[in-house]
Amino acid sequence: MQWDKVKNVLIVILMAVNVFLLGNLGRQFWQTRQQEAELVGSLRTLAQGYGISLDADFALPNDVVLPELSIDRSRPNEEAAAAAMLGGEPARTEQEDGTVLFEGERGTVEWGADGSVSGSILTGEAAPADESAALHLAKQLFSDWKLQAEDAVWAAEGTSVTMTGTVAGLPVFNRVLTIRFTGDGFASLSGLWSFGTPYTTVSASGVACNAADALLEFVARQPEAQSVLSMTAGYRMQTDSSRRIQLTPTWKIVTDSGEYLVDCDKKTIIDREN
Amino acid sequence: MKGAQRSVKNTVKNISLLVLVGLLAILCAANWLTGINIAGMPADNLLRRAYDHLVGGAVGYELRSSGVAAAEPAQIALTIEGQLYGVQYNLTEVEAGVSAVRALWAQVLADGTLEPVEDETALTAALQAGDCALLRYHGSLPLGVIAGWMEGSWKQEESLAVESLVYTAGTGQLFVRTPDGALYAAQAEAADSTLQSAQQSFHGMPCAFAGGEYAVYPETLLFDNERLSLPLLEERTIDLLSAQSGTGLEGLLQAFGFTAYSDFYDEQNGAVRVFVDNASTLRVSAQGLLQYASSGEEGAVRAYEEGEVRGQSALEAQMDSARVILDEALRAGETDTHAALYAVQQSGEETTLVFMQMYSGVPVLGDSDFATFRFAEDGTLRSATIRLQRFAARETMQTVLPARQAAAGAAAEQRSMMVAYRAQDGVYVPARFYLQTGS
Repeated sequence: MQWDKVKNVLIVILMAVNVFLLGNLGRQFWQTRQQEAELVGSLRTLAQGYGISLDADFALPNDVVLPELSIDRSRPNEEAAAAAMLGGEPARTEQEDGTVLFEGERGTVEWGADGSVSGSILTGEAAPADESAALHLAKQLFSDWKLQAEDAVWAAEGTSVTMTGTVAGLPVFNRVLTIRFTGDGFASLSGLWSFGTPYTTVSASGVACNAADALLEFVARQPEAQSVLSMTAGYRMQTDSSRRIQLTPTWKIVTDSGEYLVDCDKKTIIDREN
Repeated sequence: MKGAQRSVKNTVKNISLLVLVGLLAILCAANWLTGINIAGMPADNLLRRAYDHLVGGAVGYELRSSGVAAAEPAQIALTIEGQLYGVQYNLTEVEAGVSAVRALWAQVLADGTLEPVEDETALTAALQAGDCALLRYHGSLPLGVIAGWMEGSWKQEESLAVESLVYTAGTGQLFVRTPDGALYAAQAEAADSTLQSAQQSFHGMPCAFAGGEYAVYPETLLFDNERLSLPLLEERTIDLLSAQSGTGLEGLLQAFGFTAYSDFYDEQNGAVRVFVDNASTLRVSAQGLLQYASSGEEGAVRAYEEGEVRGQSALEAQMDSARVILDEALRAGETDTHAALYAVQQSGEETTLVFMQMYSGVPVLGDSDFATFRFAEDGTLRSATIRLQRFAARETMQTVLPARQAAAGAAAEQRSMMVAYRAQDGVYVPARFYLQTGS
């Protein structure tokens, strides 16, 4: 047979195989879309059965497998932040439960083993006139105090400003710092924070965060909310029995009555944020 | 003219063939990718990392070869400006000490060849030759495991069980002590800058090595003016099956692969609840005794999938699995204690992990082991026993006999010492105990 004809036959065969493979991909894609649409429809019906509606703009997020992450407590970073807040070399007192108290000429700051922080700091600044001024001042102070967040999200309400951020590219829902300007040149700091890069082990398996499962468990257990607005996968900070900080995969479900955290693995409602 | 047309047609066919083959490769890969569970792949898999970047999974975290430490050292010491400083029996101080010396031990435990040391005077001389660092654990743990926790990478004789490690910077050696009293040494080196950095961030109490003065091992730490005062502990009742501990019990059941809807039946007038499924049984005693057993079939708790990991990685996965279960159990019991691995027994196709319970960094010893986990080679948890206890500290404090006095009174076979709580007339009392060689 001539090469010319062989090439023609090969082109026809390759085109046929490619069309088959493309069709197969398209079929799978279409089926997935259909299943997703059916799933959201079924979820709406089931949620209605529990007296909760899914908002018209509600979109079911993709399922994701997240690793459980650990973060080592960083006393040097805590000390550096405290020194920046309080000035000079603040006196350091470590308590039995792992809480470290820093006392300096400009106030006190306390870091807990679980990442909790609270303090009263003399900033010397007058009370900010409005939310925009409070936000500007908070950004300046957090920068000076070496409290930085990746993908920082700021929110101001009156003279209170909160900062959150991501860890490992995902939000940590309860890792929030709040600074409140009291008006007498002092600011109170509170919240939960961590320093450094989280880690997991090569052999560790992830936690499957199934959006539909979590949503169903939530609507079955949460009678207060009337409508579910959105849900997001991320982490929450907690400590284990040996006081080690862990990031546990968690869904945040936003409803008309507040925000709720649902453990990805156990599907239990952990906390109501506001 | 005809030749030129044929040439153009031929070129078009060649290009079409190349494009179609390229498209075929892409479509085959796309079809293959849609058929595999990328999300279930190990975190170190490149495909998994790329997938996480694309679908919004977790990114930018470190991957460590070893997991979270299943035990913290009982004692840590480091020479600073010619004086040895140490921390001991205090969870907070030990935790801070570990973070200060981890980088140093990561370099010391990079790898090496251990040789038996017949003459203890070699260690005594090395301890006096310059700066030293010490790690001492309760019980005995595989050297490779400790190296992993310290972010080192020790591979030679990684399963050798050791209870203390000494780095002597003056002689550039690592000494390790095994539970039977044998001493091994290897060449080891840490950068001066790493040692200095550890010395800057380490805080402890002044102490000294026992050296050759006493019957105890030369590396035994003797603290100056030691006054270790610990509260007496009372055991409080625990009720795992009460309605108030519902969430904790649910977490505990989940850790063992059960749910709140699993089948169960009560025994002993409701004092024991037995959860059953096709693969396993979990007996939960209201008073805190947990007993798990599995047939090894599908559905049982697994540290890893069969064939997924081997050797040291398998052991680390088993330790991680046991640690997570224990953590849930301690949460369920609201015990205010934590667990520490103190023995790893590997025989044939089984690995047994034994844990002791600690109250604020001090071991609490009972008549039986606090927790044991038995894993099969395929990663299945075959059995587990946990004895949960809840303690409350009394206001009465007890001062433990200082190590220097105890060392002075040690007999020839009493070469090591530990502080621990033991039951005495219904109260847990802290005391210093001698450990005989090989015990």
